[in-house]
Amino acid sequence: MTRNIETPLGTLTPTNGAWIALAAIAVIYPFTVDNFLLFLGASVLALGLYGASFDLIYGYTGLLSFGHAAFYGVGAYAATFAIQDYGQGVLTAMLVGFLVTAVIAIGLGLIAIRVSSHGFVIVTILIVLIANLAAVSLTSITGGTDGMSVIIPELALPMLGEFSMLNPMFRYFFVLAVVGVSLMAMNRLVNSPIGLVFRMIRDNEQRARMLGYNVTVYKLIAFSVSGAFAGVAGVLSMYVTGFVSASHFALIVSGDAVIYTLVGGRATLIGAILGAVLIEGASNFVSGITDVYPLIIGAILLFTVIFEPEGVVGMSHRVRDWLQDRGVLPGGDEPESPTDPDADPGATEVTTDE
Amino acid sequence: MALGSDLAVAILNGVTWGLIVALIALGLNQIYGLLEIVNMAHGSLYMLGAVIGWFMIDATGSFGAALLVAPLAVGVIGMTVERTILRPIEDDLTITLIATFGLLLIFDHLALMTFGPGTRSVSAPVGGTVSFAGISYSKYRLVVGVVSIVLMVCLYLFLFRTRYGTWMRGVRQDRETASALGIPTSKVFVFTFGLGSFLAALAGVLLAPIVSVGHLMGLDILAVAFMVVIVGGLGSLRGVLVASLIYALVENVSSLFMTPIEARILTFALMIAFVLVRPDGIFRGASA
Amino acid sequence: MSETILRTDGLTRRFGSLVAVNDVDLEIYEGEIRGLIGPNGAGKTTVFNMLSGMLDPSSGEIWFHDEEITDMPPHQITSRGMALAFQITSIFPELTVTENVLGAINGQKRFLNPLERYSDDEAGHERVMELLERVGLMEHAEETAENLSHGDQKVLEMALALASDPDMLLLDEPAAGLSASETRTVVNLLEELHGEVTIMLIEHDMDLVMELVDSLTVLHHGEIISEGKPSEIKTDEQVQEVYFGREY
Repeated sequence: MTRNIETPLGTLTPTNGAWIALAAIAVIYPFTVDNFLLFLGASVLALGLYGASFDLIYGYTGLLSFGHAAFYGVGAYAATFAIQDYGQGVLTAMLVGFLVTAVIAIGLGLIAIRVSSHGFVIVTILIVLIANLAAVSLTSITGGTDGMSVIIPELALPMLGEFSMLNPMFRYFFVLAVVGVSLMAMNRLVNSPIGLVFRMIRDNEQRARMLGYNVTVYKLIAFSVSGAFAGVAGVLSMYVTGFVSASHFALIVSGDAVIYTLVGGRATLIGAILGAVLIEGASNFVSGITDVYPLIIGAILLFTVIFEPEGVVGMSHRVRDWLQDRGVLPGGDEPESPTDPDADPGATEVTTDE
Repeated sequence: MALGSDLAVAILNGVTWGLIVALIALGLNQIYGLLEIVNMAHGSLYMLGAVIGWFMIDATGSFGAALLVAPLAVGVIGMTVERTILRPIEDDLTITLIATFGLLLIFDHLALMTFGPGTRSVSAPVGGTVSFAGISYSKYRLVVGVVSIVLMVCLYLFLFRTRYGTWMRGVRQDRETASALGIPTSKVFVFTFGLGSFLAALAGVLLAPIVSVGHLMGLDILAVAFMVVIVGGLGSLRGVLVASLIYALVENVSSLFMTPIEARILTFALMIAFVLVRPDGIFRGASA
Repeated sequence: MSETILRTDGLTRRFGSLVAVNDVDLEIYEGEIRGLIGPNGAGKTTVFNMLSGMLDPSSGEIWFHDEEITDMPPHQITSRGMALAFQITSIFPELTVTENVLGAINGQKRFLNPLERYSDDEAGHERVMELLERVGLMEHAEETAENLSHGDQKVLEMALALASDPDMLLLDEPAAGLSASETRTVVNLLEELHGEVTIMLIEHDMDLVMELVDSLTVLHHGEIISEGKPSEIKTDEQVQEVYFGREY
């Protein structure tokens, strides 16, 4: 078992260490790169939030929702209409996106959750396929797959002046702030007693029910919160690119959430961010990938589910454990084997079980 | 009466379309019923049938060759996939589903790479129309309808009258007991996946002259297949057939009054409303 | 004479033409340890499933604490003071032992606060430690449940059952699949709980049952053929016959 490192500022666990490291990188990054990479960074953060929202329902609650692209798209479009048709500002539009998606998620959740557990996945697949069908065909409203550009109003910050999403630096930090707050909120939830119930449902739904929990209500909470944050991610994507299209609703976009979470490591929230960074980073920098993107994603999915279902975080845990056991990192198990050169011959561990 | 004959054609279309959708969805249902796998690649298998069929026709000019080779080829692909990729993970249902999604991506993209974007048409092996009751109806569609019925009867006979079919039903009921009784469960699994793939691909070839062949065919049919399986009741064979027919009839009759896309959306909306009221489907799906 | 805590009246369950449980009248007294035994297929598990609410009886009544629970679903029965432990261990594998027990304790609460961290729940953790101390799992508190030995997992399951502070424990083959020393752990725990919690267990292992219980009910072909103290049952010829000549 791993021990934590004590620092003057508090306990450094593997988890909060990773968060801190990532936060540090995220803050320093924009000062070291050019505009294109700033744009990419902001996109990737938004996609990371999208993945993390999926992690909430799949990694923590054990429900495979293949319909998250629907929430992603709804969020983006709701904010778009708020801006274009109702003249709302950046923050209000985002709130609209969040709320509209939450309400729709509750509604759809009521249908999906009451079907059997396998039926749930199928219903979520149907949700996204139908949403896609509607979005692609209602071209006058959605702009179809060609999409439409959105002119995003400036955001007035008290004492700081007005900022435009066309300013790459501001855009990046805006996205970072929203993603940061959202992740903190989701993190709060999963560390709360309610989050514990989510994981109980994942591990043994029947037992959770027997212990007195209304499992359906908890699933609905998880699904709604998860969907709502996928909507926020959609809004952010629209802010970053200034563009929405029906391709937000594509099945493969649902698959993207799955792959970010699996590759990064499920039930960690942060894994999804890592996954997004890896996948999107790779697809941008390894040339020729965009042409065969679905093929690569498909292959990665197969590889990950068969060989490494815990993703990068899982692998990193194994690496960390390995390093700790060899004394390279602090923490780690007491040496048990008498032939271990580091072991004190008089301190072999006594186990009380057989 | 113009409306009358339009309606008659719409109903016939509904029935023939419903029958062939049932054929596809039955394979999906069998795979789910026995292996508990939600096969997201099922639409892709249907598409591969049509695409391979198209290549066969392009090469040999014979529809019969396509009908023979494509389903068998896809059946073999299905069996291979089950044996190699799905077998090691078959205990974890969500992981398996994700794997089949990976397969969907791979199959669809391979089709894109070999077949190209866009769609192509295939000419029907049986052309012309049949006139009866004041309407003219495509001979080929009638043939497709009849063939579907024949295939479903064969499937029924196979499942309920042959030893292997009984094995399949036994494994579906109770895997462990079946295994204890000496039934080769792993072979049954491989065969079931192969059979489902075969049926989907066969439907793909049969439908090729009616819908156009393209690498995106699979996604179109996936929604329909999943929908009828849910509405019919996951795991229920009767349910699939009934739901397919209802779906196809509603969609085809509605298209008399609105655009096909609107008809499809309406039909889906109605079916979702049904699921809201009755989550277990028409025939109360067998699974938990 | 103790109060009756659980009572069945003409409990019957048919599966088609097969009568699995036939007109069973049980009376369980508060504080006792009762064993329900019988050869394979005697209907013990069916009785368990009906008592726990997982199966509805075909006819007859079940009364718990003077309240009829005949058709109640399991989660309602468990909220009335009955706790269950299953033959196939049913815990939360990816959670730690502490989280397992804390989750079980929280099941009794009406309202869960989404804003606090469950790891900051001092009262909850105190209760968790109490329970872990009781069942002897303290040293494994931070371990992931799936990494525990089979026996410890069984004990954890008991801790989950005890978390709701039940009046009665219903156990289905608590020693199933356990080694001798693991069984010992479970037996010790049950003996400790004796008197405090009413316990009814279904068990195959005759040795275990004989030493642990206050009284036995013997089931055969769905009917009670004998009831009494272990010493009496041991010498009961009918019971011996039913177990095909096993000598006790």
